[in-house]
Amino acid sequence: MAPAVVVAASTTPPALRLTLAPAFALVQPDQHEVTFILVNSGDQAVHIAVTSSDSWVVPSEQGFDLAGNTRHDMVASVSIPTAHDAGDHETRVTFSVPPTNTSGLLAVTQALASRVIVAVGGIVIRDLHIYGLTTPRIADSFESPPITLTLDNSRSNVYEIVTVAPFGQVLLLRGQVRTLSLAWGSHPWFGPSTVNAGGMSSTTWFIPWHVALGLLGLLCGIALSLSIRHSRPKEVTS
Amino acid sequence: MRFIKSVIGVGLLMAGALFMGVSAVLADTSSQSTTITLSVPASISMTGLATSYSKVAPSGVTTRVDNQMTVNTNDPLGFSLSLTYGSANFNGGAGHSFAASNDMVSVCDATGTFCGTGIAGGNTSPVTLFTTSSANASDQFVIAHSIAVPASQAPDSYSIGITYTASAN
Repeated sequence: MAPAVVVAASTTPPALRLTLAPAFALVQPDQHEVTFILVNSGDQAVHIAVTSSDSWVVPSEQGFDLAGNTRHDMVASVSIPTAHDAGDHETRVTFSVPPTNTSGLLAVTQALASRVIVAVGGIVIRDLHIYGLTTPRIADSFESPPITLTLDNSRSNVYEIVTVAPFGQVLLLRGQVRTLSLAWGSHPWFGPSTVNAGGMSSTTWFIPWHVALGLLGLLCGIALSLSIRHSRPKEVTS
Repeated sequence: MRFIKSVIGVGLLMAGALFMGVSAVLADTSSQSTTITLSVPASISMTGLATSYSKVAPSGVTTRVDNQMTVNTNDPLGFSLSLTYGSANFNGGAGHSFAASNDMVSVCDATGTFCGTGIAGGNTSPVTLFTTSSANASDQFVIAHSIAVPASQAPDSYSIGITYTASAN
């Protein structure tokens, strides 16, 4: 019999419920601070650790205790270095709850991160390229055809938000290239439907052709059997 | 005749008094309007995760540990969920350990029945588990950890720290 690997602490602490706002903040050149709101909707008090990915956005607190069903407002100052590029800069401010019990098999830290984009100004270069939007010309109504698309923001120094209808929006940071592979699940059952992205579009006709071919085959079979039955010579009875 | 005139006079007086009373009441119920303006920022929330999960895991067997969670956001760009390991090994006492790459992580539906392709754990840099591209009222899912404890692994209590980070896109 294989030896059992026994882990400690068989009880699982209650789940947490945390909300962070803003989840996405755009800081203008004349703005010097951002206020974050963290809400603990659970009953359990938690300790929150606050970190920033760089020195552009400096939280006023490194950590704080948050009682159950309370909210905490925290200000972070925006400090743009004297030497910087024009355009955008991205910083992430993360609020995490370290595990109170580290002896379990999996000790989980859960974190919510806010994406802060600091608009520095200067000479802004916008040069977004969208290419490779492909959809099939005809697709079966019961399938989810694949869509591919490349969004190239590598020559820009600011972020872009691209609407890819009917799927949603895509954020491209400065210098970022993203190739999207999407499954087109929500489409009309019959008729044409179009994918649009930044002035490009591609249309697919949705036809239930698998079902149609099946029905056609069935009808052909019935017609064939009827024609064979009618073409047999009739028996003559004397 | 004089009696009729008196009655009419008293009636007019009462009507006048009643008119003045009604006017005063109407004057007291004058209204004022105001405006409530709410600024609703993009927000993100996470719920359902516990701070630790424990299970008896026999050696030579793969044991599954489910982390059920819900992520909500009103951000029209959706959200991303990433996973970071605190170390490359599950560590026990007396120097016992085994590689965290024995933990295959997969994203499953809310019931934990249908799961995507697993990725090997142990990466101490954030690995994106999945990304959405639209606002969602409630996205429920299960992160399944299938941990294959090596057959020769010494009996002990092993643990590893992991971090789930949800961020708006």
